[in-house]
Amino acid sequence: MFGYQGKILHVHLDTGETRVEALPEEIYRKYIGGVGLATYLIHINTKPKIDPLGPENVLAFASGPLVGTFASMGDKYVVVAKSPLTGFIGDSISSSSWSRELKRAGHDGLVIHGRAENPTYLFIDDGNVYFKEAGNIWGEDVWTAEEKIRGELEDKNVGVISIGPAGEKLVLFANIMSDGRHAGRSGLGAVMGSKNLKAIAVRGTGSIRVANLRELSKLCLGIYEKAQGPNTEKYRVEGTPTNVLSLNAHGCLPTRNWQQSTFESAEEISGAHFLKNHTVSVTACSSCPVACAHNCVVKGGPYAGAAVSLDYEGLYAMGPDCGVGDSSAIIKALELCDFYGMDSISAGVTCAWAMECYEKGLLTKEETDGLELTFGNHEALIQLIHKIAAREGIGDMLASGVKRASERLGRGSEHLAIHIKGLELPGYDIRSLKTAALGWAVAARGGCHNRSGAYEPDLKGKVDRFKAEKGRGRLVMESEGRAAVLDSLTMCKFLRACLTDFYPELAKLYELVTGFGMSGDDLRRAGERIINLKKLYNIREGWTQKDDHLPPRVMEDPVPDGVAKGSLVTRQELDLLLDDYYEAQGWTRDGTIPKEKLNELGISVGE
Amino acid sequence: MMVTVKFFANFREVTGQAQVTMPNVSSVRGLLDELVREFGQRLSDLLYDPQTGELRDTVIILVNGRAITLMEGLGTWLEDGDTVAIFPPVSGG
Amino acid sequence: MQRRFIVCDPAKCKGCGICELACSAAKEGVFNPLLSRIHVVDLGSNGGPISKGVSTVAIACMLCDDPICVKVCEKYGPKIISSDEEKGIVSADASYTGCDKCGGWCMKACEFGSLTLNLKKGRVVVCDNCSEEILVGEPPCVQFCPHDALSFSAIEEVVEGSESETARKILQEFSRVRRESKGVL
Repeated sequence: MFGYQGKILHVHLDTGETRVEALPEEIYRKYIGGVGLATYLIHINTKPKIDPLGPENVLAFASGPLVGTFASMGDKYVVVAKSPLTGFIGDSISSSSWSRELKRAGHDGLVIHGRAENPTYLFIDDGNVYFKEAGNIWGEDVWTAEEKIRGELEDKNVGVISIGPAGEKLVLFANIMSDGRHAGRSGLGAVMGSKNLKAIAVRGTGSIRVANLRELSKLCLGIYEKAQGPNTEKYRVEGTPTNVLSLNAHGCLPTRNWQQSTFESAEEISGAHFLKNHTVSVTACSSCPVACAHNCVVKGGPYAGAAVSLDYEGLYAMGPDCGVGDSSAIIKALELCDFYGMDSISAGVTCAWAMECYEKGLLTKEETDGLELTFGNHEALIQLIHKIAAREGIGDMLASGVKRASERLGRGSEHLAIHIKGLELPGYDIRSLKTAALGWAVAARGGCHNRSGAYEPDLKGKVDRFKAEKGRGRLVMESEGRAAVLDSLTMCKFLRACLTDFYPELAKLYELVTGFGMSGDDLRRAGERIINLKKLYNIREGWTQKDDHLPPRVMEDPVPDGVAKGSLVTRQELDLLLDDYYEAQGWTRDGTIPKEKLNELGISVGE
Repeated sequence: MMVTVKFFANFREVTGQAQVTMPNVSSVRGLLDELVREFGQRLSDLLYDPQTGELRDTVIILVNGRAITLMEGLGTWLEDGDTVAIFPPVSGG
Repeated sequence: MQRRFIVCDPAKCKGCGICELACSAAKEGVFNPLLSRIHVVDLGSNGGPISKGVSTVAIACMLCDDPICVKVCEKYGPKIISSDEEKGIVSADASYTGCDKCGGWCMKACEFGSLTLNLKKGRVVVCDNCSEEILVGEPPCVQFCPHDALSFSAIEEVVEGSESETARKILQEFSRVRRESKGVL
């Protein structure tokens, strides 16, 4: 095959058995790769209603068809499993050369079954799979683990993904990391921890072939040129932290657990501030023509030496949302999340909730283990992060995420919990971004900005962002489809504006790599199929319409400040938006997928 | 009559200013003309597509928090005390 | 003829590795960094919070005046590497298939880690500026570098524009790091 390898590797941690499955061509054509393929793999390899942290859950990894070629635009892997945080589909994506190594070892995907008896790491060395004793790296942070594994295997170039102590302790928003980047959201690091699996090292030495190298070269050179043009300038120059001031000016920068929507210290934590005071280098992920990773270091003061590759979402969560306006403290807090291997968005939003509870008297100083958990107190925030990772004292409650923590605490604190389906929200105040509010409410993995770009029409001024109206359902549906296609090709979303004609150009890229005929319309259809496949998984796991919700604060507490003052999403508005969306998808009024729709899309899993 | 203009990201870099006040401008188009006169060709290049002469897709302009695309575009009228914010589009991270 | 070679500006290199893919695609028709004649080296990355080191650079053949690889191949090896003064390149005999039986002297001797053993072909390969493939324009690695870090320059142009001794030391450090990595076929 071209682009693909045609094979999926299954590893059973309990029995030590490994097996290679050849997938029919039809599956590749239907589900493309990446998130589509991995979602298919969990559908057919798990039973419904299993415990996400039990041995029956599987972790399915997949690369996309373009990975390993110069058409990849950033080599990425996708990991999908039932999420312990949401109980629904957990899918997460990270840039890493690991993805390319896996493919070069001969596999498009990897399914991990069962649970190892003792701490283990896997070493996939081309066609061989070795189960390695991980007792000596259990408890180590991901950087030390990576280094020790590379040392033990005597190969500095081996691809390694691993979990940190947070994953081992089953922190429900633990992530999977490699080379300082994260498959961050929905707690799949905890699933890996529950399997006693510390890391997966891969060395692939094989080659990847494409169907039409000459034409592919031309097309890629054209995209590369645009990748250095005005459409990616923001990523390359200030990086995503440039959003801080833009969102602040829009009155959409969630601050102090979403009590405000502008932050008075925004200038001190702006993209320009980090660039001037902290950025030491800007680097690219494997095969990326953009280069957006802003490597930031604290150069003096109490947090000197702390370092992180900075992005907006983590910055929002540890910064404005926790009332922290000290850029060095934000870097330190984010470094700790990486050190322990946990999602900084979920961690920050959960800490912000604890701070509001403390300020409102819902949590006493005794219950916070003596921590003065006021907004802006970054020393306390940093102590709290240590406690969460160790599941120690109050950290144990917070380690289960804000939904479970607020249910456990009660006292009305549920009203302050900023999550959808149990996934903590990213940094866009959706009270005045009503297309985004719908996008977040319906996203299969919960409160997330990556499974649709639904904020784009709002923030680009294509629609009135303060208004809920018919037509937004279609916008969200189309945006979800595009995201699903990018996540299945595993092409970076930062390249999306570099495509002249989204579907036809991507279909061409796909065709030149794989040799499979694919029209723009076929690819759009594949995106729709993948969105339906994810939704079908959620329905299987007990989804009902009430799970397409918004946090109480978004629906009841109007924005108190800035240009969006007074904004919120009412029940009537949400109902209108949901009806419109379900209709656009061709689903029933209560949001389930009719049999005819599944047939039309050719989805036959779960039968 | 006075309008406050806030620059962000690359617009701030090119103008060297975070904020300026501009007197006697009645529309967004008039304001941009004045700004280009003051800050020069580089600002013009950032704002307009040289081929079509139209405002680039990569420019977002808000008047009091509302996108001009939903009002009268470049023809949107300005009033005394209005705040105009100019920046590149927001997108994920 | 003026000798030109592939030069990387470490200030612009982002470590993406696209040059390696462009090289293996042009020379071997497949994507495989292990078959590339140009290699990305990451300096100062020893694990840690930042995905890549403070600097990365791509190194192809440095076209030494009196190439040590030629000398050691002559003395201890199969005598297949030669220096083509006219084209200004070093090349290995394309018909030879026994390099995997040699002690790898050329690879060990090269200060810059520029030689690569292609195990399938049983032959050492080295950057030849794509002198056969590219009749006009620049070598594919230079064309494909999205970050504008690679150039196809004459030695004189490069030496003039840099603190050559410092640059040399840095490059040697890069190549030391590279030689420490295994997985080089």
